[in-house]
Amino acid sequence: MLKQRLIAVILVRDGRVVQSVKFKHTNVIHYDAIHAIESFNRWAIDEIVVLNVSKEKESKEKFLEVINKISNECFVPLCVGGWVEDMEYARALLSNGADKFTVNTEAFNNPDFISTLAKKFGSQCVVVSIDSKKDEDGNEFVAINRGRDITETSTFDWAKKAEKYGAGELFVNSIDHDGNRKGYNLDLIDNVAKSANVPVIAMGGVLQWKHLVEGVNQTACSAVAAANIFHYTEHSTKKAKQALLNEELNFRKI
Amino acid sequence: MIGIIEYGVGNIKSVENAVKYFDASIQVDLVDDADKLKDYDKIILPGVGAFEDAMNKIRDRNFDQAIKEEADKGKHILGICLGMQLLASKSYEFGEFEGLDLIPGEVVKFESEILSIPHMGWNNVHFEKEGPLFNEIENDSDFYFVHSFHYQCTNPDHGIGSTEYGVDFTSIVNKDNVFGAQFHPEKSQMKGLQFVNNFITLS
Repeated sequence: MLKQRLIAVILVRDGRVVQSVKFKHTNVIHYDAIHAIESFNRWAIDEIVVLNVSKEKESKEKFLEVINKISNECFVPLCVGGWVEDMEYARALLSNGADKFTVNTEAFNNPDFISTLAKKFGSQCVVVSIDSKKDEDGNEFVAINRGRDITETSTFDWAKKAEKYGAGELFVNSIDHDGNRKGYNLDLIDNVAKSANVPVIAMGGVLQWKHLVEGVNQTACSAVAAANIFHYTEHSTKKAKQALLNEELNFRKI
Repeated sequence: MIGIIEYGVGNIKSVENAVKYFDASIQVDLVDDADKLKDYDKIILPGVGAFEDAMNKIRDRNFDQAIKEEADKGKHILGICLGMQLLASKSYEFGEFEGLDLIPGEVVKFESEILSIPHMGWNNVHFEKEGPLFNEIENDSDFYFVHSFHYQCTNPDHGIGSTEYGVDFTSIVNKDNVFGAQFHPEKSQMKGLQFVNNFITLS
């Protein structure tokens, strides 16, 4: 039976791993991204996502080097993203060892970009990352440019459109819940996942293992992801997986 | 010496890393010249992408004949993912195309209206037989899959591993010295690495 997935997200700025709170990336957690991979009990994690959160576009080249190094140590699927704006860069990420990549702002501004990538590399390579922000009335809107610009497009409309253009997966993050430690934005994730025909990855807000369990039990997502929490404790990924297996959920045994 | 066939499809670095995982001193090369294939004891045929395109690239580089010659000599060959499907007689992926025909069978699309395609993620593999390829791996362990088409062996005895996704499909094939895995052992953590190690230490 196909399993649900536990995903560790590593946020990288200038080659260093950082923590994210409401999309502001401040604390440097590890000096080098490769140490983050090594410090995870990586045999429990089902997939690794590495995102370049640098504000400077010039960080792209250095990020390729980071991915090249990480991929040598990574024997699970590796998804990477940040500043993916053209075909050449997507190709460079794959040839440096990534299995798939996320697209966000460029895909929103130019949805044909999704189709072009899907045709070239296969839709399984193209993960559309959607950052969502709630307004005062509780409506969810798409945010682009690393969360800085809130658009007038409904998150749910964009999710459907992205899938129609060839997204292989949707990676859904809530800016309001990012680093807020209250758990996932369950309504957001569930609403996107229920109307999607492709896998939806839940992201944003996990502070305790039970938040992962909530994500699985209370939404239709295919995967639960988290970033900061995996850096706080020893053997964190193993403990996270155990918490899911203790609830007899459908995950790969260690 | 292990040769990984390099024919211009996808990233094969992780396959190379997986081969070296248990023994960094092992000699493993990416082979892009069909004439050199005879120098290797064991051959891995990786692959991602579309069947027709991959098969054309193999023919353009004369790897089709070279692979068959080495298979006839009794060398161990392992196809991974699309590389496994290329071992079939033919594929119906966006048309009808001939494969290497090393293990008789056809590659067909998943027929399902409810399950999402591609079949992507971790799924368990049931080993139908015992053998050195499965040493130290618990039966029904999970491996990582990404594919939309699957192998149907003409002779059911050639299917030595099976997986359920809407239907039971063949996820490991074997005929004599030729093997194929639909999943990516190089992306399936310890069990996948063990699988690769079992292949490269076959005697």
